Amino acid sequence: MMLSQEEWEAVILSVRVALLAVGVSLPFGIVVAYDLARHRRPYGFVVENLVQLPLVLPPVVTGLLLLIVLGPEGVVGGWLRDTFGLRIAFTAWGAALAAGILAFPLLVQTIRVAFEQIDPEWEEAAYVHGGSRWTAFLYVTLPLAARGIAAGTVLAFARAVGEFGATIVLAGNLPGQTRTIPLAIFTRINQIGGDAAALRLVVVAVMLSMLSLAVHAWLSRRLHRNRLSR
Amino acid sequence: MRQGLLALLGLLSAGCIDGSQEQARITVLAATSLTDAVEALADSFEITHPGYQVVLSVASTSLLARQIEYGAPADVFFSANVAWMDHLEAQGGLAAPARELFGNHLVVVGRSGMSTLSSIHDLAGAQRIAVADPGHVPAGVYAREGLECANLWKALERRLVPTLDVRAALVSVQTGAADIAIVYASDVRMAPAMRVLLPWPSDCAPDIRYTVAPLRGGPNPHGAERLVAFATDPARWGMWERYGFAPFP
Repeated sequence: MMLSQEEWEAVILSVRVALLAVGVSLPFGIVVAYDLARHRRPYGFVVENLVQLPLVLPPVVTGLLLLIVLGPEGVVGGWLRDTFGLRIAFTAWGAALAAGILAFPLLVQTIRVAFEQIDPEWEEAAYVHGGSRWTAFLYVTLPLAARGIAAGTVLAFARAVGEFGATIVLAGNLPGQTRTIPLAIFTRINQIGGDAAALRLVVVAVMLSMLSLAVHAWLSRRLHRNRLSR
Repeated sequence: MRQGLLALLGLLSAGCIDGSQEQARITVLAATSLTDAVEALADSFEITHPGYQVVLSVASTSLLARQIEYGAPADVFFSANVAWMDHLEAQGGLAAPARELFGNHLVVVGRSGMSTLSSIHDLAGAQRIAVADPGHVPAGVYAREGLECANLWKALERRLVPTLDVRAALVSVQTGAADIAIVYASDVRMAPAMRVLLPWPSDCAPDIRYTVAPLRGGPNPHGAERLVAFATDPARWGMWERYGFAPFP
């Protein structure tokens, strides 16, 4: 199966956008997941609700909200442009942001489960041996949760690659900048005679998704086995 | 490790997130029904105007109009719906008044083996009628106008299969998901396996006009002006017709 240069462009752009989205959101995801797993805060349910919201909200709604806030005319978008010269809407940054926000619930949920499965006594043992909260987290909790974090990252990556609704609203459908695989497929099915190109990209999308899910399943199984053997 | 991560992010963001754009790039927003035609237009514009690069973003007219309202940094807008263009003009979003490109009309289509209809009231014989979403997609809004005018809307409303856009309506007939579809004449001329069963009666034909306008505040106003002039030049009529659109006389 030969992809045209334009189709390769969409595939490579998708991978880059998704990696950027997951790379930037991962540190935040770990912090939020750890906090949700370890602390019962009075307004914890509000945080949890907000984090999970993109999972159930129609992506078009998420995209529209982001466009209103981050668009060149929006409060935050205008400020970012005037202060840092940074444009979010209708750029690859926007595509990455949309993908990152849509993938965030999956990232947090998977990592949170990994943290919850670690017995707090392991952390307490680290404190007894003179560790600070930070060193205990860095040398005990994080390594124990590593596989879960990796699984969450892979799942979030898969979701980010497939993002369509919020991306086309916030970032537009610009070839080479925001036309990721799903948007390229949408463009091709709107063209008479575009079916072959659309199908080639569909095959790529299915392969990427299956590969991500396989890696995720492999990581999850290893996670489970490690826990049993311990 | 931290530096490695930063380097990786830098690598990922390079190129695709490059803020600097060459002066000659013209960003065009176009309705999905115009995808093929505007791509061909862009190709011949680039050949006759060396140094310009046309970047095309396609979505439904309504979504593109919203994006323009929220400040999309685009230069030219090709709209499939006069009302949305008027809306943008009223908002002050256009750099110059919109120019008319061509008109279109509605037709009832089926698969190539089906027999033609003798009147619009024969539509009552179809079980499932595919039509672009009458709520917001221009082709569907026009179909609704046409059906309301013929006093058929109430009777047929429940048999309509709303689709994402007009091309999807065609596909649903091709795949057998619907018996017939109400689409633009231009779409059928590009699809050989389909047959026009009935041209829409002229006494109920909605006013379908495609327009183009340069956008206020676009990054390349000079290029926008030249592309709009190129698109509306009568020398392009032959090209529009090749894609099934009938230019104004």
